[in-house]
Amino acid sequence: MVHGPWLSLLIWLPILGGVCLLLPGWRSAIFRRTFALAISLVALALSLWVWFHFQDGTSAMQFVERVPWIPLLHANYHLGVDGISLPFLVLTTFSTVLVILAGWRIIDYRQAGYFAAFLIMEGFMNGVFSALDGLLFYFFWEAMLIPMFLIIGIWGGPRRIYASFKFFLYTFLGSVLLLVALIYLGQRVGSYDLLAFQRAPLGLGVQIWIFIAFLVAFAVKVPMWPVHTWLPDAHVEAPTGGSVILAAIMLKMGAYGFLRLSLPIAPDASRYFAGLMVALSLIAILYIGFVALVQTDMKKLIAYSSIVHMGFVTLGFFAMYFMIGALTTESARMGVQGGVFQMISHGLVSAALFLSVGVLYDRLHSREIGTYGGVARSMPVFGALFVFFAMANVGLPGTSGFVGEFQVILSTWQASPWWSLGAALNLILGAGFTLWLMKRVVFGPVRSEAVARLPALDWRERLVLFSLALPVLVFGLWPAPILNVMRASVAHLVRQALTSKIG
Amino acid sequence: MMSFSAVAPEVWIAIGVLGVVGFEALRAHLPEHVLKTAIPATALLALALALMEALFWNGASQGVFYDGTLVIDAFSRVFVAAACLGSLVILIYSIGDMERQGLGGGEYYALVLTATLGVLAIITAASLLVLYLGLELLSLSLYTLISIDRERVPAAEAAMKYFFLGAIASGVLLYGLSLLYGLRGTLSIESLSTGLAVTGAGAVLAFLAAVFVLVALSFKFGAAPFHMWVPDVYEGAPTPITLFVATLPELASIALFVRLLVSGLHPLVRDWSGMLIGIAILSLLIGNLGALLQSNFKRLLAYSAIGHVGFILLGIATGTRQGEIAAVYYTLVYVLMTGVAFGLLLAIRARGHDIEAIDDLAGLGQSHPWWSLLMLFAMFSLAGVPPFVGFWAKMAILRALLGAGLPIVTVFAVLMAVIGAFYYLRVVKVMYFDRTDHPVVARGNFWNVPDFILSLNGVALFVLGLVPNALWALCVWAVRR
Repeated sequence: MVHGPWLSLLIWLPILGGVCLLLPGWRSAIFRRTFALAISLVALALSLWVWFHFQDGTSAMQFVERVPWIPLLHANYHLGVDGISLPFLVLTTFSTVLVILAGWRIIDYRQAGYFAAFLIMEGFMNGVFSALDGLLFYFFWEAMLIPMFLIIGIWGGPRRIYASFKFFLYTFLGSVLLLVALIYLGQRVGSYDLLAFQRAPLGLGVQIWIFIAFLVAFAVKVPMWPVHTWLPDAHVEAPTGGSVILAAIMLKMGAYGFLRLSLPIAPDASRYFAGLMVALSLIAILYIGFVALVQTDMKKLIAYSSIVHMGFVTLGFFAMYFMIGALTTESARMGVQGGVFQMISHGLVSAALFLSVGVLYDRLHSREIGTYGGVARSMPVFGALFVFFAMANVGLPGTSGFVGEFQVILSTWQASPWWSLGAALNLILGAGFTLWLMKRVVFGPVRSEAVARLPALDWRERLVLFSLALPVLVFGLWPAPILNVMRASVAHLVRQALTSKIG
Repeated sequence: MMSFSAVAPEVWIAIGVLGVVGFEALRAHLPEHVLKTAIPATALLALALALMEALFWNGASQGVFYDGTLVIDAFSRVFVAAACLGSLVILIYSIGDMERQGLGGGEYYALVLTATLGVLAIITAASLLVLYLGLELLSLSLYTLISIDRERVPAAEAAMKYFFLGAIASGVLLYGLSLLYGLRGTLSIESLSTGLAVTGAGAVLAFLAAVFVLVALSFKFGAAPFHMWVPDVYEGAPTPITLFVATLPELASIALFVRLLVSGLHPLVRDWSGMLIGIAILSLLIGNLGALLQSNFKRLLAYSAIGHVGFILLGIATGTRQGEIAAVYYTLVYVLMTGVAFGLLLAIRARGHDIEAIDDLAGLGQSHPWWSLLMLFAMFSLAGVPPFVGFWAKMAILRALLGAGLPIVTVFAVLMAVIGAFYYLRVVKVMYFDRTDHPVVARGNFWNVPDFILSLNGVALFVLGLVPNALWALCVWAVRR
């Protein structure tokens, strides 16, 4: 066991860095940029350090920090990571580095504020993933909204104000019910310790209300159909960096909430609502898949594709309640593991896709699919990368997208072959909308003079896209490192989720 | 000697009033520049001495003094200190602006001091009579302060409105108090709480008295449906006075509720808590929905104040100690947040005139990053979003509501908070998202005393949000029995 304030550093270092960026007196923009990049790199190094010192075989929390925070409420500043939250810490720090690199030259309007907002948000997001106290969790969960609201509103597209308000109010509305549920639990249990919440016996009636409150918060964040409508707007209007963080990290928080709070705290209610959850997941997978098919805006298409992929995640989590027979535990674990892996993979792939669209947008200032065509001729390297990420999005074997989806489909079979079939149908649908996008944008005849004269990727763009392509490929071929890290924690979670708390 | 120290803060302030009035009387004989320093200095010094006195109040001097008219307990100590500090800070924020508008005469300082004196009397009242006197002293000072700019028609209108409605409310309160006196035969608030008849013929009278008291207190607090004066007064009064009206009377109001309703009328808690929940719910609705429609910033803050009063009253309405603590905590936090919002309005001026419309703030994010950041702190704090202290205030109320077994009211309250978030976000939007060619002008140089204190005040919203325990614990200590 490693001790020391490593998680605190991961939270507060970026926040302090962001605050420093906002101070007046910087000599020039290049200093600020370099400083922002340095801070984000240090955070990445810290998270990798935590990753390499993490012990695999246990589901216990590691790197635990615990000091009294609000003694009056018995709330503690309690941090720790297990195999489920650890990968997301690394994903967060990694994405932030990419976002800062991607905004290096593109953002010219109040650049310091842009970088500061992302660094501060990075700190808050790390806080969400490492908080083990209900109030602390909520504290970071909500605080995160402020920088994102500003990012969309200040640096966004033409309808940025509408999108930023919709984003904030939607998620705020969901979150306040989460707060009510957390306060209720806190009074009942006598502290706000999430692990104590998980152990506390609760009757079915109470669990149902708690589950509903959690569901509203997390479903908005995931987002699940029918509360997904903020996502396309937010994604389309956000600057590229904002879209990347939204897709790669923020969407994962909803699913993470299900894992950390809903399933272990209200397992019986989870079983009670599992049918609803599976139905919503399948609707997201199939119906939103068709919606994605008809989009003419690249960012919107990827946004809808995100909803589809998150549908896989929630399906993987909740299908376990319908499994019967000897293989239940095994399959349930596989489903959850597949869901978590899908979250990580989607974090990489969607970030890459949004960055790719950003590359095109920076050149022609259009996200319309119709503007492009034959991009591969003028930008061969970019075309190859874009297609590679698209394949990962489809779930081609050999890319990270395959591993999670395959596990989910395989485990869902244990619950119902029909659901499995429905989910698998999406592979066709997903291939449909993604490959069609590729056909229209990357291949085909060169659409216009402007496309023909598209400048090739510069070194910075190459660096960003290749550093995303690498993990997508590596974890596609060799998913073991991530699976090993989470195995014990997932097993523990499945045990909690399948054990009744009543009586 | 011991008995003198019980009123030491009040005495200092009274001396301050006399000093200010004395200087003003000598106006013909003293040079202008002497008056210009002496009068504010006297007022500030009086408040500072009162604050010191309250902070270092001798622990031995706790108890009831002067034949049961004044009580010094933990609540008195915390709130007397808060009121003196608040008054001091408000004066520091507003002096510059009042001078600029030519309203910085001695009467302004004298009235602020008498208003503060009224607040202190309410806070330390142990007898119904002192309570009423304090309230009248505060109210009369406020009526005059609001109309201090004689030439300004909206101010006169607001003052008249406030005066007439306030006079009715005072009458209602007095009637309620006389009923209580008739029932118990004593003016002591403490003895009300023991043995107020809750059965038989007296019960009806006691219930009636509770209704009268509740209506009057709700009026003073600006709770719906007795809120009509709030938007007009906020908008009509000069901004420095609005700052005063928006903060100090809130401290007095929570003191009224704690002293008279929660302690004094505790035997009737069943009667008034239901009514209070109704008033609170109505305030939340009217405050939050009303604020959505406002384009004037001061009016927006007025409606938002009504909404916040709704939250505070929910805490009182639970009738539990937890709820009382939450309400007290919320009030202190609210005063802190409002101080930042109005203090910033004084610090920045739009194109030579006071900030009136929300749109006057356009472009503030670029022209004054620091002030706009503090305004952002205030707005998100008022909306109840962490990491700001406003979140903990809301959380305390929600916790008390759940603890009292009122889950539906809790959910209603959080939904109202979401509506509230919308109009606070609008202010942030105007500051940061809108771009303008006519940016706001900030006053003078940055490193002056008012701006420094304002900055501290703003940063406190964030720091107290990170470590909320201390202020909260202070409130727990304040309402201990």
